Amino acid sequence: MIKVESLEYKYKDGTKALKNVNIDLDKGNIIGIIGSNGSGKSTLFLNILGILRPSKGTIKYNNIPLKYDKKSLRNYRKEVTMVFQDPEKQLFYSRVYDDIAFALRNLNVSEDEIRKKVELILDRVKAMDLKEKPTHFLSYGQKKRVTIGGAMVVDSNVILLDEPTSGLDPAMSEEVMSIIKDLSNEKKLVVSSHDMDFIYEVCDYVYIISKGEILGEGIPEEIFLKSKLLKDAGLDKPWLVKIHEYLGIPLVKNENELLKNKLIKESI
Amino acid sequence: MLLIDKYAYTNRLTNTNPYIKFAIVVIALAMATITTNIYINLSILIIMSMLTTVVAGIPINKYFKLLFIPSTFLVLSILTILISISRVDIYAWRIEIFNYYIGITESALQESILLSTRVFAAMASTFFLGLTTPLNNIIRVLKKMYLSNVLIELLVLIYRFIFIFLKEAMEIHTGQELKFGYSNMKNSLRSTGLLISSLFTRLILRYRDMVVILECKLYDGEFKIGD
Repeated sequence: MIKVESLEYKYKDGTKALKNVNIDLDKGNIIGIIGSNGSGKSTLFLNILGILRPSKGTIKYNNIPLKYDKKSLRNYRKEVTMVFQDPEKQLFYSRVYDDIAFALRNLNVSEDEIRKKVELILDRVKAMDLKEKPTHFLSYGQKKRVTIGGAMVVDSNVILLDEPTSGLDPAMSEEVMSIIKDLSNEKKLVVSSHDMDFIYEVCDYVYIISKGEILGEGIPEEIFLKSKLLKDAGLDKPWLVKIHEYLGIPLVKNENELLKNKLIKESI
Repeated sequence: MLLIDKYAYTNRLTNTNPYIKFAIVVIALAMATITTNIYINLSILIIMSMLTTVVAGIPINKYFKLLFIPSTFLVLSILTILISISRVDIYAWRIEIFNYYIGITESALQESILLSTRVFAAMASTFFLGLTTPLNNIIRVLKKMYLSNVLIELLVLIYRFIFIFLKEAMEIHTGQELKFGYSNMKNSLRSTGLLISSLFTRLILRYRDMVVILECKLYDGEFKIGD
């Protein structure tokens, strides 16, 4: 899978956006990358995608360093793709069906095959009823689901998701979360977010990034206990961790587990 | 959101076979262009207006407002045909200034009436198609007619980007309005200038993002249309 080794990225003016970043995507199935605004998350993603070229260090895919010629990059992006934060910018067609089919048509897949794949994807992102709709009629949440579908359709091995729940209402966040969980059964996902509750529940390994450096890493149940580290990175703790610390309630992964936990029930 | 577009997706004929609608409109347009009979033109106008308002259910007042938007152009061009200047009095109705006659001849009048009815008949026909058929369906028809892919590609992209463009412009406008940017003539002028320049910068930024995203979607220089 993807390994980022001592990556450094400098802007044209010489400021370092990323310093000595090491990331190993084999450490989990859904990897969280969290950090405050301007911490370097998006720059890191663009480096992993091969859009930006690191000043130092390498990105390895299946232990082979990334090559930056056009053909290698095109092949690489069949394996690694990304869902960007703003869905508006990712929709090019005025029909949902065409938009999801976009990448497949670029790969010259036959129309029959496209129809099958798009239907499958529409079903998985719960957007079947939107199929024929013009994209400018969709709500923000619907657009988000369609863009996730547009990335899923290529059948890549890795999907990077930049702020998948930002700007969504609670119900829509919940839906996106379930889509992500469902996806993680077959793909490697990398998620960046400001929503600590979301990261805590969904990810199985987390990197904390601040000012272009990795401050810490670990499984969520451990990393979110490190108060100083989180404070330095300008982040907060998930509510489940807070009630664990303040009220002594056992640490659980999500709300459901909390409600089912016998120990907690008795103590209440 | 554009009013025309909203109607196209919500009227009673939205899901009617687009090929039939397209054929009707093409025939009506051909008839209006070829014939020189004003009664045929008038009946096309009436039938198309009825189809659009009564059958498809587009509100009548909105419909006539839309139909009269291009009228300014029509009036201007008809006037130039209608009125002429001459030294000889050949006019049915005229005024005389310094030995010149300015007026309207019988044949110019007839021609103008024919032209106006023809224009309104043609407009009512295209409005019928535009107001009752979603663009995605029109595109399907054009594809069946083997229109060049480049043109369809352009149509698809323009249609999509009009909405992005309008949305950005509206957001900037609202922002300015809230800060009293349009409270008087001077402010309005300045705000309009700012709106245009910031719209331009935003478009450039958006274009840069778009290039990155297209790269991820394996774009190779052509927006493919499919069947």
